[in-house]
Amino acid sequence: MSGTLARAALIKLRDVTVRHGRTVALDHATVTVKAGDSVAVLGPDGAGKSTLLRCLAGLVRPSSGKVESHLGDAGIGYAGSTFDLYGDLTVLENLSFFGRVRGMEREKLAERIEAMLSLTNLKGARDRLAGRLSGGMKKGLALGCALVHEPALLLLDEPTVGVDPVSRQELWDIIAQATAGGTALVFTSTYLEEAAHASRLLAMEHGRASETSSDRVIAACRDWSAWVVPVAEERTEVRARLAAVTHEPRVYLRPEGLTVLAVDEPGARELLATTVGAGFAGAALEQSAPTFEDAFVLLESGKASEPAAGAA
Amino acid sequence: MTAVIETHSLTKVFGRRTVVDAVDLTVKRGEVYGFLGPNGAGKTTTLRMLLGLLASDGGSASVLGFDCTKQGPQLRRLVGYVSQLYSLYLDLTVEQNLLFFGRMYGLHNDRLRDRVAAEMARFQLESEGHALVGSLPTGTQRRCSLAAALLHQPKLLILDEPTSGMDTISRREFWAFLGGLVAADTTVILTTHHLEEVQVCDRLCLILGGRLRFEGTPQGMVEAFPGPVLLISTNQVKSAHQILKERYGASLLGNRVRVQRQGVDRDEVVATLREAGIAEASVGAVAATLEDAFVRAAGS
Repeated sequence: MSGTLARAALIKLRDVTVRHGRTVALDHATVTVKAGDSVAVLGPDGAGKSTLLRCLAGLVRPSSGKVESHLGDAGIGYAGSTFDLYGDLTVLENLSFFGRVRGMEREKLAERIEAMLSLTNLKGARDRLAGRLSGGMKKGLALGCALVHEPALLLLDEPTVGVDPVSRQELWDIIAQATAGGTALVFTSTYLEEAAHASRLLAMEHGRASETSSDRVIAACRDWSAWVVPVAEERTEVRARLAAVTHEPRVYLRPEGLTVLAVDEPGARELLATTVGAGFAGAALEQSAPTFEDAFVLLESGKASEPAAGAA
Repeated sequence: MTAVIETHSLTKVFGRRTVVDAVDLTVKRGEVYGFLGPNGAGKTTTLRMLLGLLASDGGSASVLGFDCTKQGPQLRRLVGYVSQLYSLYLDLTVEQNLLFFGRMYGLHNDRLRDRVAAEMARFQLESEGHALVGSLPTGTQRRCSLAAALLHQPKLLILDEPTSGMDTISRREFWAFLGGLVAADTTVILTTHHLEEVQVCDRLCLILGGRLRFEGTPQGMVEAFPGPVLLISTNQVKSAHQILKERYGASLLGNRVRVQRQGVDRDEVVATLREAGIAEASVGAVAATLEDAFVRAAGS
């Protein structure tokens, strides 16, 4: 894209490390977020996703390294994974409070509150206590509170966790509308399919962050295949065997059947034999491409490695 | 397979609101059964009636051969339940929690100690036995709550959003673990909002506004709401999204617009866009997912 070079950097983490006691939550992370970026931060539990976000939000001070940004508090909107709302205040009072702590002027705030109520479909609920809202509505309000002061950078920690599919879609729609004007977005998720809402992908593991893309994740596993054995009556037996090897994420049951991730057919048969047993090693195998989730699992579990930058 | 849960016209009324409306369910022995529906659809109320914690206002329900209204205490001894909040005592250690829950389930002395040791071994909790639950990471708390729910070797295990916030590898491990339980003859019922993973359930039901909207296999649910989902690419994404949202409830997916409403075809979308002055748009079709089926059901 021609506009990429011209876009201004909003915030830069340079070689940032965050330690909590003896734990290294963020390990020499270098990340730049530019205006208009939409970044998904993916990775296993404890990889440092929330710490990275809190660091960008200025809520965590780095143990070493530098955070460079001219945004200040007024330029950043942050919503944590738990609802950071006041349950005893109404929807309106919550929005008003979050605007006022950001130093917004009365008139501007009134205007923005109305905009947020209509953006988050909460117009009819303005006088309801935040604590009494449904999960989806709470998430919507938290989003409104993070956006009320028109930040240039929106940070969302697991914005859709625990929300039903209909509300989840509505939330993503609100986020898309809110960022359509160029607001940069960084969000964490444990659901890989949500990466589709991002233009950039940041994979995290053990506190380290690396830039990647879904194409690169899949390219990293281009030598791998998903080998599928249809399972019918043996389902109970297969389940019993798989329960004994839960540490092996390369073998799992999916609707199409028992699935094995391996580089070649002999490898797949060997893995079948050592996990579910020799009885399945001779079965007919159907070859297909690994899914994005398969590829991610291979990378996360250290079975496949990503090519060096530029190689993919 | 025999039925572990059977309800006939099960109904619950709060004031003037019918929150569970003549629901007929059948859960078979040894299956993983998904309980789906938006928040407020009546899932929890149904589960509470099944456990005999709430009296029904009509119909009947039996669980493991017991009548839910009359034999709640007997049937609850055979059921394990893990709530979203894990319901553990944060100021007690892992071992103290397990001993406490074991006693609540009527286990004592050697039997209690054996069962606690066995579950601690199964969930790799031995090294954390003396740690306060409140000081442990979420993943460990989750294992501890599962161990507590399985101490009395229940015939039926009910899990409320067990994988919420779990990462991909943990989810895979968890599903393998559940598979092992059902292979050993435990029946598992779970609620979740993450539908891609429910595909591995044997069967599921969808409850909307207190009514049973669907019961069957995951594939059956997708087939019950047929037709592809359309993905639209155009250089006027913003206006295309606006128009298609008003007309078909479309959503934005990155820089494409997604139309999942049932019965809307490519020609119709192209015509609608053209009418609005968007001449250049490519419309592709992808297969509908279980999540699409859910949204379609909720919207119909």
